[in-house]
Amino acid sequence: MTLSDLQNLVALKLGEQSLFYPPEEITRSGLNPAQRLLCLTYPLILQQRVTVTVNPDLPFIDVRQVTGTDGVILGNRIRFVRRVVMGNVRADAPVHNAVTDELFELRETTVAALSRRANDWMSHRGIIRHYWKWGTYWIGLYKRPVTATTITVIYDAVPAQLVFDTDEPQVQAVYHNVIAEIAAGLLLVKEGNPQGEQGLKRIAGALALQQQGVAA
Amino acid sequence: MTLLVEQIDRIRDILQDTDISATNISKIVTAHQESLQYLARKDMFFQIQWVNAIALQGLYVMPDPVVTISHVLYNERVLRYATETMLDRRYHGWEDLPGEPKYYTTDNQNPSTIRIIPTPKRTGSVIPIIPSPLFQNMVDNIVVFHTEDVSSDIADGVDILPTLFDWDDILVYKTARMLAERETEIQNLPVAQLCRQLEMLWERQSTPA
Repeated sequence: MTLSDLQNLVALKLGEQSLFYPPEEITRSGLNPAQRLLCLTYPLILQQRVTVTVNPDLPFIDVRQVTGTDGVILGNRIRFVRRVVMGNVRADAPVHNAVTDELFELRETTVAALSRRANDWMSHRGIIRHYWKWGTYWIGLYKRPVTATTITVIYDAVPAQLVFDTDEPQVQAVYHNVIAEIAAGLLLVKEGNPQGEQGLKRIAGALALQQQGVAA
Repeated sequence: MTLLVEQIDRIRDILQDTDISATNISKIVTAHQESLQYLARKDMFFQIQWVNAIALQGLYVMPDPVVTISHVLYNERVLRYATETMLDRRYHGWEDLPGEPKYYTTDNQNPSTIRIIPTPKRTGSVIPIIPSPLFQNMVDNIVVFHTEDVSSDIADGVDILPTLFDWDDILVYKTARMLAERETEIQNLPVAQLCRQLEMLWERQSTPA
């Protein structure tokens, strides 16, 4: 469904009161937060991969500045980094790291653990076996690379905002009705009780999904 | 990226607030800043800050408001945290002790200020290194891993929130609740209660697995 279709669906759910629920409000206060809440509750619905070339000696990267496959900077859409893999595993055919011919998962560590291990950990350069995270957006490689290194970052993604009428949610079509139902629930909140309470029940009902695979 | 004005529109949607006067918008912005500070106190805004080390200078003020300092590096080496009492036991006149820095302290310092002990003997280079998120050389300089309070930077409609989109949602519901709870003519306790529940729903889900 496109944004336009979703707006119409939500409007129908809310009784087509276009003056009380204008389309812009349906999008900004309903559909966009609704798709975020869906992916927040079930992160496996939208996990993405991005490759990053880490330049020699680079101490760390700010993943907000990384450019995705669509050429757009990821910005604040990386919710949680799940894995970091040496090499490029974004496409079907994995590509080994060009210099070291390696393709493997880096182990996660922390700044605190590295500081306990060695006072001069930041000055270590050489073979990369670990990555560390600082908050949501900072990732560093340990040791610091001596050559340009390609890594793939696998992360829970926040869905892209729906802006234009032809935009479609990034999640599968099977979840589009769920987004519309959550959006209707969120929009009802402004009415107070009892409609708002009913809205929360609609959200809870819509989020009671059965997902295959590992539980979120 | 979310603009503050987009947050304000969402808050006004929930409150059914049609007042676009500067006074009203200012009240919303102030409440939104209060919500941002709530997230800041939970150490949600991580930052890595480069600071130029100056020879024989022990005190350094961070450019941004700091909430918690977790790690400090000097010349790519870890500085250990020390309290004033520990330093008193170890060194006489440690405030005036030049040498290779080994410790840092925030004891009895102004907000967002750290003291490096001993004070460095060398001044670090300020020549930019590109590419790097720091853009500066870490050799003979200071790097601070900390969390910050971003609320003071988000005061104008065109300001961009540096937060994750999920946190923008938390901010909207928290601010709307705060405003709906106030003892004013637009007080709306049922809406405040509903916003509280949405805020809790988002916060509960935001805890990483």
